[in-house]
Amino acid sequence: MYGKLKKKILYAPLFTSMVFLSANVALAQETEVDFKSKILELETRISGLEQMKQELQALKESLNKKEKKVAVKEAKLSKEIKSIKSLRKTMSVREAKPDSTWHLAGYADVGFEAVSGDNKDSFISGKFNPVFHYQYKDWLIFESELEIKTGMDGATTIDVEYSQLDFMLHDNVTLVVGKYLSPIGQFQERLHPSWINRSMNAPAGFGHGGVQPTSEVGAMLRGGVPVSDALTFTYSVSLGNGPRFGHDEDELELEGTSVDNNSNKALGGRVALLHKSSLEVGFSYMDAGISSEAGILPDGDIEVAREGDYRLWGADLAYSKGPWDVRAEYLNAKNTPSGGVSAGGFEPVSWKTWYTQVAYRLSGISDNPTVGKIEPVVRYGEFRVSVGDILQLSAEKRWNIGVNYWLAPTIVVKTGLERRNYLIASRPDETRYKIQMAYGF
Amino acid sequence: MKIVKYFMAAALVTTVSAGMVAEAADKAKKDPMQIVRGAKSWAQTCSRCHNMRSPKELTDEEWEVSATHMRVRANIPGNVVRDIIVFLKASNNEKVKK
Repeated sequence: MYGKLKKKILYAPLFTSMVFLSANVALAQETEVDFKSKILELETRISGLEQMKQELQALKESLNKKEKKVAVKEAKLSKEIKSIKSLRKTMSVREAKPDSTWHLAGYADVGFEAVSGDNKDSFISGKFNPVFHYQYKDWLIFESELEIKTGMDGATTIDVEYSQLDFMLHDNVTLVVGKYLSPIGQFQERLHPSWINRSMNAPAGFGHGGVQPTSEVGAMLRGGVPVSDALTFTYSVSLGNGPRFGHDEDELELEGTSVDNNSNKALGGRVALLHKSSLEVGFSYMDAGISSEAGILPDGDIEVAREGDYRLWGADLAYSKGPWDVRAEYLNAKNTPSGGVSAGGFEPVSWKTWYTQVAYRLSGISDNPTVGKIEPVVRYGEFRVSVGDILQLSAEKRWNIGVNYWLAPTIVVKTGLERRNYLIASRPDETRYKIQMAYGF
Repeated sequence: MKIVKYFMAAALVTTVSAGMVAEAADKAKKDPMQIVRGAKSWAQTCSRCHNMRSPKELTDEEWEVSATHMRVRANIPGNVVRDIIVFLKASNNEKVKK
């Protein structure tokens, strides 16, 4: 029994070791397979990673390339944005204040006129006077007024009333060059537009064929200088080609011409004092040498050579405040032969004209808006022209009585009558009934 | 007489030149009272010859040109015209103000 047990005891560890050994061998065999498979798996993963790495590398390179491209494009864009910004800045500056600006102004009128003693009652197409203003910065303005009208024969005529460059040299000095309205007196330069003129036409002697010079071609200095808080001094001094002889002895061409036929310039102008109470007093003067060579006129008449000294002076007064508009003006001109009557070949010619006009807007006495737009106006004037001592046919006394109705500050309907008493008995007097509508713009 | 005329013209040009120098040193500055002065001058100056036009009739730019034209025509001092322009621009209700 003991021997068997001893054998058992001896074999037991051996058996156990064998069991363990065989188990370990089996285990070892299994681990190796696992390792191999794991190694394979790892190798596969590593290979995948390698591939990924390569792909990443490729991506990185592509990204770098794209980044570079983007950077180039960004730089370009930034440049473009900068240029757009500067362009926008330029544009906005231009929108805000262009160097050159312009304005189209002017006026137009139409009407009806019936003249006593004949049957010439006519609608009058009136005239259209566009005025162009072009200004460069704050120191130069070009301005021109055209007069477009339909004549009695139906033909349209276009005249340049003025075409001038004004250089603003100083707050109190402007240089005007070109063809400009005559600065003599107050009517021609300031009151002749039909929407400003309270009456329906120019006073006797102030229109074409009268004493009043209408325009001049030359250079003029003008401006206003405050003398005190209450008083302003204004001046206009002109040096131009001056007037020339007209067809008839008692006529002068007083429109500006682009050729001076005697190189003797006309010096003239106006000075005035303006009080803050709206009273203005002005004085005008003009001196010119006038000549014409002997010749045959286009209509076949013989024109004798003439040399004359022309002198004009005048005074004017204006008071315009509230409902009142009061004007008065006097002009006196004389043309005497240079070196005496026999040397000049013509008699001295003298012209005198004056008018006074009062207009009153009923807004001064009525709050009614319709009544307030009514403005009665009265004007009286005289025009005398003499060759030697002989009064000429155009001498007259003229009454104008009218009523204006202001539809707007620059739109007016004028009605009235005009009585012309000619001073030469052989010329019959006239009464004219008139309606005029004028629009200033 | 000819010499006298040309002498006068030369004298006037000299006066102008002196005036230009003086003006260069007297450039207008911003002035809050300009509108007030402009309103007063507008009321006093424009009605000397014609009815007063409403400021709303023209745009800013048109008023500048129109007022410059009137500066020449009516012998209005430049500083007075600038005041009037400021007033007209402020009163014409132009929507787009720069």
